[in-house]
Amino acid sequence: MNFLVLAAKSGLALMLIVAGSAKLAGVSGFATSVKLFMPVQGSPRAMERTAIGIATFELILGGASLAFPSVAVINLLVLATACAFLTISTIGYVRHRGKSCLCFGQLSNRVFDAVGVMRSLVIVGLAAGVAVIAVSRSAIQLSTAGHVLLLGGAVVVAVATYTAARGAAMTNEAQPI
Amino acid sequence: MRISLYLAIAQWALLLTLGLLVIGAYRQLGRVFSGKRPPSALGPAPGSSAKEFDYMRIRDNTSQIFTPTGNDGPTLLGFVDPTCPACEDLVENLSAADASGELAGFRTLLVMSDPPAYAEISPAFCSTAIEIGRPPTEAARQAYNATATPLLIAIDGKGVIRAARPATERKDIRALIHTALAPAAADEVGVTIIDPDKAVAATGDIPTQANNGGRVT
Repeated sequence: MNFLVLAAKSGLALMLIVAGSAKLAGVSGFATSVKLFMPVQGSPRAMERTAIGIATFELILGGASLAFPSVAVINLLVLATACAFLTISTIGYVRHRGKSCLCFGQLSNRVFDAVGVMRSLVIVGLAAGVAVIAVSRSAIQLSTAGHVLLLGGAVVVAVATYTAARGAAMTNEAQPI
Repeated sequence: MRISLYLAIAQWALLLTLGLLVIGAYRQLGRVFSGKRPPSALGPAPGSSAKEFDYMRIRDNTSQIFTPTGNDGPTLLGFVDPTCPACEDLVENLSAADASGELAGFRTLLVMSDPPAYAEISPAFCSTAIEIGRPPTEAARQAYNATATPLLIAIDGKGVIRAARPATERKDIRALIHTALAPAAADEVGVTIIDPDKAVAATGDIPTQANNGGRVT
């Protein structure tokens, strides 16, 4: 059980890192998706700042979740974020079906659809499992070097994703990875 | 030394993610360089006639018709999208060229296919004084073979396509301006061959406010 929970935890953390950095690579595009859900239509600059804020939050949360597995509150934050994803994908499915969600920036051509809602449900399920199921303390005990190693890995993945997303945007050939 | 289970799993997950990113980037590079879609396949063939199409002008939501031969001078037609960062660079540089008078004498039209609301979110699209239109169907994109954006097309005053290429920088824009203005008869080597540096050097041919938009008075 430890293995499954920890695999889900690291998978969710990496998903957040990839999603955050891919969004940061094409903030203007993601801001158009954010605009679909804003109750009040603000200025383009405000939308872009909101988009940057969301992407940065995902990136930091993913990095923290990956590198600090013993901090329980991070699991709850990931669960709350997954619930927000589910809410957004459900509203998107109802109101903006077929429009691009740019959930992974230019790396993905995903749109708001029923599959997206199901995917969000799975993410919520995984995040809930990680938050609720207890794992042995020894399995998540990391040394300082372990924290640094995982933070470094998170940075490398973030930079690689950012570069790939920028490249996809430049060639305008977005493909799911 | 014994590493924790989580560290082992996280390391493998990191490796897997990086591997997927490398594969994604490799496939992307492969598509660019394998010839599946060479640059020459993008845009209409030089020498062909520019096609007419209808569009909705974003600024005032009015229906318009683009008629390539109905203009006094040459035309720059850009296929762009607000969700494409490279397109934003092109729009910014076109706006700068317009502001400095380089586009005087040209009709410039930017064509997008994203929803109109998307243009409102892009600073480059919001601030440009250049006309932006959105055709109701994909027919215009198909007619101009705009399979990727940004694509900038130079059309001469007779409605003939002179050059078409992906463009983002000022030198690309200048090269297309130069091509659109160059006499067709002297263009025996083919209008697709553009040397941006030479085009930039030949600034005398570029219509500016200083030379009255390139017109002889």
